[in-house]
Amino acid sequence: MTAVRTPGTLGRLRAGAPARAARSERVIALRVPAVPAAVLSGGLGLLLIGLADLVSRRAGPFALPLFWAGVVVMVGVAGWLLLAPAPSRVRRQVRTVLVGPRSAAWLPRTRSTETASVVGADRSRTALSRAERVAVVVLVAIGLYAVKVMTSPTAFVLPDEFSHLRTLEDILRSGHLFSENPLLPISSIYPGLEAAMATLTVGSGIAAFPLGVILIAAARIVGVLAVFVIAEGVVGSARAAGVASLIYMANPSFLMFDSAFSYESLALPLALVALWATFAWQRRRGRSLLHVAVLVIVIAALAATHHVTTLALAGFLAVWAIVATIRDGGLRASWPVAAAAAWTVLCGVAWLVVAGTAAISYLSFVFGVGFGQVLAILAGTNEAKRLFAPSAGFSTPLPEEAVAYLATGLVVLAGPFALLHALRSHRPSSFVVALALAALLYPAALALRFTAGGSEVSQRATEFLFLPIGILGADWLAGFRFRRHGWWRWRPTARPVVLAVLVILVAGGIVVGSSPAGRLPGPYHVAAEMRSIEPEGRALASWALELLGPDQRLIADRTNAKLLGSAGLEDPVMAANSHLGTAWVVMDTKLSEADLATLRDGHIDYVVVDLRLAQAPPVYPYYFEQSEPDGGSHTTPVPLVSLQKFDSLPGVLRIYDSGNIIVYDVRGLTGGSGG
Amino acid sequence: MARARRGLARAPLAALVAVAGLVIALAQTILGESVGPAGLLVLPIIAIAIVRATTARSMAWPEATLVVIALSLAIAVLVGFVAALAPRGLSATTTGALEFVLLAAALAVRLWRPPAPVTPRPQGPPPGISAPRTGGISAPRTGGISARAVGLTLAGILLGGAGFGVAAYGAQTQAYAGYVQFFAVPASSGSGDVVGVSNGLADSIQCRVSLVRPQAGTSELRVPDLPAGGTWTNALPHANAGETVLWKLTLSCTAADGSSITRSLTIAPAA
Repeated sequence: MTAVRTPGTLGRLRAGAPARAARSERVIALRVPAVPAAVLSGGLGLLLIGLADLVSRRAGPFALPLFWAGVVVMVGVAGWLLLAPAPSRVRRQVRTVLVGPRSAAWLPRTRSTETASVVGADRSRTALSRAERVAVVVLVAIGLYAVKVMTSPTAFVLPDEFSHLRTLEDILRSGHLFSENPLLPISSIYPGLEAAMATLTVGSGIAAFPLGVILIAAARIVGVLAVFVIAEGVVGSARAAGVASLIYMANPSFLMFDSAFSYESLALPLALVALWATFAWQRRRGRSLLHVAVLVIVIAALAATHHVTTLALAGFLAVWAIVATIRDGGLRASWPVAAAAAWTVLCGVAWLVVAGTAAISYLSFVFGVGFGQVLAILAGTNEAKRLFAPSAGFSTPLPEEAVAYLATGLVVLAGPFALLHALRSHRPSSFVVALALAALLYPAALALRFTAGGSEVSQRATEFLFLPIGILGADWLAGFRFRRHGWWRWRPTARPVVLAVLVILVAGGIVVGSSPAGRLPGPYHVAAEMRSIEPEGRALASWALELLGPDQRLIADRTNAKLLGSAGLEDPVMAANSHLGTAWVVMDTKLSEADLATLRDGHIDYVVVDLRLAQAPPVYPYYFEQSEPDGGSHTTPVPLVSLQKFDSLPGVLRIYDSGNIIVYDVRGLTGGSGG
Repeated sequence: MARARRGLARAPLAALVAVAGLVIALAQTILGESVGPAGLLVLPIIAIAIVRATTARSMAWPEATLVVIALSLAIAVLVGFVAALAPRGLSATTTGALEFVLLAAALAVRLWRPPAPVTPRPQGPPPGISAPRTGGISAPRTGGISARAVGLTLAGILLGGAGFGVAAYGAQTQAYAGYVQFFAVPASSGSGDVVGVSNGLADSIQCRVSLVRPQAGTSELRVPDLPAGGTWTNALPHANAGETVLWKLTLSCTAADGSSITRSLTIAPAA
């Protein structure tokens, strides 16, 4: 029997023995159709995760095992399907097995031969077509989005979602853009998401939550489709493109952050579409009106939607254009890329002119803090942040930590091999070189993880960097196979090993991207993001809107500020929007002169005190915001005496009491009309 | 005109969809209010019209889906942006008008564009990084959808739906600590204050409010039984002349399980 050496990768029939081929066919014959299998596994995964959510809400046991079982079922089956060989490969392999490799090479392709009829009968069962792969990728993306929606199936509960709901509400109330958003000032300067939502809301009359879920789901489909077609265009294989899409979904932001009702969730898919359109336009040597139209429209919308994504796209296109110009000897071949880069820069700058330059100070602050802290750690003046540090009794289980480190390690270790594999091909395109250069930023992004200020930047960087990592990694990984060396005769099958790697990457990304408390709902806890959203806080926001009226300037902790600022349409005053240390007003044990000055300077009318802050340290690093006493390093709760001090202050009225939440009218302290 | 008629005759379904989009956008513009979920259809119709106006190439469904959804999203952003910059602001009228103009323009370009030569459906991308790989692009014909495929798909949808149902049930039945709101705010008419109680517990409560006026004695306000979700408000008396010391209000409630609830407020007497 002759061993078959086909130029390729996984899922091969390695030996030409008819018996083995027959066994394979029997196994293959038992296969279920790919897309229904993906639907079934996705459904089963969602059922397990739904049960995990239910158990977690009741603080019961086994919520995490149920969650992980759901993820593994969903991703594992999809990964297995995506690693299946391509139809024509199976056709050739079956021909080769039956007739022998040498004759197969020149065997005429005719349906009159026995070989061809066998091929025709079996290839549909053994392999996945391109359409099936795309369907599986989309199903996984939607399934993972459903995981996020199921954490709160009736309302948005993530902090950023409240901020963007406020911008949306402001646009719907005023009919115009750029109203000040006290929760996230930059959100009102980049209102693309909210403008789209407002357009759809006034046209359809559908409420914000279901409409937002539909819009983000559509954006997510667009995002993974774009990754697939880009990867397919680069690698030339639908199979590798499927794997690339799955690796892309392993980026830590994919499960929760990029699923939120937030501007980045819309901007990122738009940027990926712009990249695909540029890629396709260049490939057609600038002769495609459709791709020009897509580029022009999508990049214009992107510039109004998100600052960092616009910047990242412009940067990547510029690098790609430079590489293409150098490699291809001038702009003759690379002008579509240069034109796309120029259009992105033009739109980005034009938006800065229209909306103001607040984005520049915002971005310089965000990036400056992270990189400054990295330098401080390198200089030895700062200590590196401990990863997965427990907070307020919430800790990441050891197995999850292990998977996270393993996944990150795999990406770092496989990186050089994937890059070499890409660059050693006969002539890598300028796009591949640009991707390789972008992938080199991954270690730098990892370094930011060790800083308190830069970990968020690091996490957000991965949603961009996993595109090159996914494409280059998939090309290498999909072609991976074990070789025999010397006396070592055993050779493991590559497909299960690669599948295990894919599942570890996705699981590791989920762990890095969200703590257990951040991905599973649960009982109330102090300053714990979505777990702090509960009826008493919502009732306060409704009461404030109805009886105090909108736009009241007040101080509140992070959770109540989000609720009051979105559902209540009030104006929480904080360092982030007014450079005033309002957290000290509540957290100081006595109201100092500085606190009084803060109240006066901020024109504060009301102070909202949540007595539950005295029950436990925060799960999220802050009670109020980064700028607060002991911000980011709380080990004990806020002293109760600090929260109760307003009761004994002359001129302060206590106008609302719901047991845990008290509202004080402090206009008597600030010279207002209250007391 | 003749070319336009020929175009319509060649693709009656496309023409019908285009007209439907125009009608919906026009209805939204004229009525000045939402047209229901049909309003969501206009953007994809505009996107399809743009695609048809810019290429005669047939696309595989993944690319077609990608382009149509991406253009729909981007156009929604731009329509909202332009409408919000208009003097009348973003409303059903302005967005409907913009969508109508966009769709009409795309259709006009599509109808008057010279017919392009028919190009074959692309058979897949050219080879990429690695050595040319075979196949993977064209879908093998499977000879229709099998009953097993339909059954598995339905089972998957049912399981996923059940998962979502379980999650929604968990969210709706999650046990949170109940609350009772006690508040006092100036009346909306501007005269006097209003005191109120709102019951956020699962059962009804029995409450009374005592009002301590240091310069005018203590009085009690009767609160009727408050069912779950019920709210009670009552106007407070006006302050006497010269009465300046803050008033104290105390709410005492008894819940259905016998537990007692106490809340307190301090307010300035309203003249």
